[in-house]
Amino acid sequence: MVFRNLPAIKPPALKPGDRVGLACPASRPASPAVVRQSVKVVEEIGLNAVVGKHVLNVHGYMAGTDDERLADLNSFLADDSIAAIFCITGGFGTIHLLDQLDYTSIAEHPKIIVGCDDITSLLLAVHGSSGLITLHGPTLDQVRSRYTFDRLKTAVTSRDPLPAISVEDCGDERFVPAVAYAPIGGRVEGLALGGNLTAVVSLMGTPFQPDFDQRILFLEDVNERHDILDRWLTTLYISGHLARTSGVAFGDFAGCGTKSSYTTLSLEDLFGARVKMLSKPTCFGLPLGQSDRAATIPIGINTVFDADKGRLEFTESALA
Amino acid sequence: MIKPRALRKGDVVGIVAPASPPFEPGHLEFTYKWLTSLGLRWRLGDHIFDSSSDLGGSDAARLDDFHKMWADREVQAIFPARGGNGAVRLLADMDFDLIRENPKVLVGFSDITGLLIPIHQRTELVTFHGPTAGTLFDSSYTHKYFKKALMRKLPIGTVTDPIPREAWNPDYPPCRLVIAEGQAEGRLTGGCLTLIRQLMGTPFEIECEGKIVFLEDVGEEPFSIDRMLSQLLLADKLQKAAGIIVADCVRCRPGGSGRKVITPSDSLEDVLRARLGTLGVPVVYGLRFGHSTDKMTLPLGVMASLEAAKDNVVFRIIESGLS
Repeated sequence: MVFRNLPAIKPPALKPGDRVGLACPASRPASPAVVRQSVKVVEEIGLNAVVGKHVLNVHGYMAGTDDERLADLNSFLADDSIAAIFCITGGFGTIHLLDQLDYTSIAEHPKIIVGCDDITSLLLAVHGSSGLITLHGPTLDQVRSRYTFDRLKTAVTSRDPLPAISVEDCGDERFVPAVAYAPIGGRVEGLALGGNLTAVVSLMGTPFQPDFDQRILFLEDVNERHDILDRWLTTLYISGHLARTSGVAFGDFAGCGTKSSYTTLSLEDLFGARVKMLSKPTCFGLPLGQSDRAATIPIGINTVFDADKGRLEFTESALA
Repeated sequence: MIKPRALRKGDVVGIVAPASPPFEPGHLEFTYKWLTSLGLRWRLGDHIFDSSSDLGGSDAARLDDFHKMWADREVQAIFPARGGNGAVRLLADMDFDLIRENPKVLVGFSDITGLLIPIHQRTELVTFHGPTAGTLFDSSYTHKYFKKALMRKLPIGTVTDPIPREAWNPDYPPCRLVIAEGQAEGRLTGGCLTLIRQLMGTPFEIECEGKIVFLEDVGEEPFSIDRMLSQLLLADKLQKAAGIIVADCVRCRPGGSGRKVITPSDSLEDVLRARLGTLGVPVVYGLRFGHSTDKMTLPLGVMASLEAAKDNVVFRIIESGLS
């Protein structure tokens, strides 16, 4: 069944002492130490961590079999004493679970779900099929700076509209001029939608394909070749969905490059040419993705995107 | 189904670069040599040696060359010089009526899948998954099946395997590893999995129902193949296929992509067994087409049959793709 444009359901904000489930719906953490670090991050926010039973299981490139990973997710979703689900790491495997989740139950027991990378497909499937606002933020193994931590903490605890996300964030800590590169300028408003480009495209043609209409689309990726990223943006272009968005905010593309090609141009060139054809307000370099400055951004919240300034402003709260 | 005329001596082949350009002009000298030996003549697209990022010129220039070859009455076949990247970018403005009204042989693989499937589905023209002009001919097997598929009007018939080049250390995987037993008959469709995925959610999505679907890729991690297969399963595509043939998929083993690696990993065989092993249709892994040195030429749209028993696999192409 495909649900479209369901009324937004805002999960309750977390309070000190709330219990948070730690899950691995995709790959296994790099080591058991990462699980300890993840627990510590959650405790630093003032919350109590409940680690999923199977997070350290090994099943090829996944943290346990589909049934085991699903059992961890379901036990957290069904447990009313668990107020949020944080993912420890991305990788691959989330897509196996999407057709087995009970989206009606998720809508009836709203709780915060946060992650990035491969987890993007869970965030988009849950949002699209239940209306629940989900949070695109660091997996716990990616919390590597004060900025990333502070933004995550605010995003899961605050009932106020979140602070704006800007290319200038952390400007004083980095010896890199913070500039907004906007091939097409403009100021537009719409619901925020997006995440990891590879994961977004992996939902195309499936019942979980997101609704792109009038959305502020944000995209990031990691360790991928430019020509492959160009392929996936081409899918969004040829399908007509890129044309239906209101604007595109590109985040970090850490570890991405032209690899072995001496002629392939930059992402700003390749993606810029696309959005110019569509005249979509677009900016590069927002602190979204998998680097040392990764903001948490809610999916489904009304957002004003100022491409010239490289700024995303939220006009409503993400949590209840 | 619209079938192009079989190629014969004296025919003119249009060489174009709808995706990436030839590696360098001299690369095509081998192509000219082979075309001469087949008795074919050739014509180059105006923009064949253009270059823009990793593409063979701008989208407009590449599409213009492509359209001109379809419109040119003296050209009987279109051979893209190379795959690479960029074919799908041309689909938005492609003139499918022009192609339907001027049926001719189109052959290629890899990124060219992004033309073979959409053109076949939009126009009902039989298109050919086989070597590009730049890969004529990597082996006698490739040469043999190219001629069988494109230069005579008979069905290709029962497909045989290439002779192993090195008996002491044969290429992995074997040519006919049975992932799931069974029997199937249906029209052929398929190509490079990355391209099939790239078309998902677009108006050119692959139609699998009742078909024998062939899949290949190169240099992708097993988890990445899993992602693409999972997407096709979630979209209810592969469940509807009559049978599935997976190529040997060159360098699709853990670390084979030379980029993003998740460890530990599974092998591609593990992935195929887990994702495709219980669909209830025959699935065979290892046939040589796609990025391997030995590649058969497969016509999209013709009837074929697949019998997969534990120790005996028969793959038969029972209809000609030519008129």
